[in-house]
Amino acid sequence: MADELDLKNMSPEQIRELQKKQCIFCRITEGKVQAKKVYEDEHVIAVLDINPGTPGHMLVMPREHYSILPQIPEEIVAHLGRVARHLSQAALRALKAQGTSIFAANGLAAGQRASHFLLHVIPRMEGDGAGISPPEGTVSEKDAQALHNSLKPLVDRLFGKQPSVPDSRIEKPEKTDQPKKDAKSNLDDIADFLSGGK
Amino acid sequence: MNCDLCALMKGPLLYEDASIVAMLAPKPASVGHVIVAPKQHHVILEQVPDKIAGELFAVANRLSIALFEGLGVQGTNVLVQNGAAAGQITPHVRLDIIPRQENDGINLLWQPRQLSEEEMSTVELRLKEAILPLGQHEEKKEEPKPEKKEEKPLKMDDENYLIRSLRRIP
Repeated sequence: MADELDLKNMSPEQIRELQKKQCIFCRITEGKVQAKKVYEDEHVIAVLDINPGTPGHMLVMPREHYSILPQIPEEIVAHLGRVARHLSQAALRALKAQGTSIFAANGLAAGQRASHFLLHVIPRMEGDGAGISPPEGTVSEKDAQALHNSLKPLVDRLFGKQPSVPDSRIEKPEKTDQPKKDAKSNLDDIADFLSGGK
Repeated sequence: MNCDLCALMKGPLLYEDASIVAMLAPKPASVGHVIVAPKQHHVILEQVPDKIAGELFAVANRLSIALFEGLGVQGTNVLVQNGAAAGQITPHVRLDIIPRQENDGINLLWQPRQLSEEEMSTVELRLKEAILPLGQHEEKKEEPKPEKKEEKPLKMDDENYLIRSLRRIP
């Protein structure tokens, strides 16, 4: 186990390697730890959660180790969504579920517990008591408009000048992709924290 | 058709493309709560074409990034309530992005259960039987996309600092 000082002196590749070694879900994706696997392809696998919210609760995860959704290449994010829909369909059919909750937590504050990103597909029945319903709040029209105005330019920028339709077809993620050495964003901190880094 | 979400699409949109829209939730669970939805009126996720389901999550991810960067939130939840049994309140598929802060009092987590080995195995078998390889049916039906080349694919752009820094592996 590396202490904090070691982590600071390690390259992103080394840190990632360390995270992989310590991550139970990486060991599941590598087949080193037994799990009830219900789906797998080149990019993702899905297993039954051993402590399910309801029977049939599935965890869809990328094979590669990523802590939070924003770190995952967009093609894989789209693929995770397509697989979740696919598994949801199977839950409705095979388990006679009346619905599904598809849920992800990014960051400890959102209730994330594992350092490997997980997309939950939870079969639902009326009155199953699983919850997973956000509260409904109120906001004044003025505040909503102000928030919209402040977020809009950032959203436009994130989508590029010409908002376009993403291609959900999978391209192979570039293995040669060099991690960039930019200033840390709060996202990196959130991910680091989950990984036990700091 | 009387659909609250279809009506919301006439209001100010944070994002819009050929198939997806996003806007601030009118009844937010927290400040910055965003709704992402397919433009076309589908009730449940299973009715949404495979490709658009993927786009829904890709767009949601970018909006989640916008909330992290723009509002400095400490976390986000991504949630699809698919079906009334899952708490779905609008008859139109939507994905909610809920910004989170430590101790914000929102609880979306379930009570974990312990099933017997037999129950787990039964569920596993049933699901495996029903889960076919992804796209076995759908991809054959996909229409050719002649205009595809003209469209700039939604990909990580080297010139975009925010995206670039987010790709950094911790």
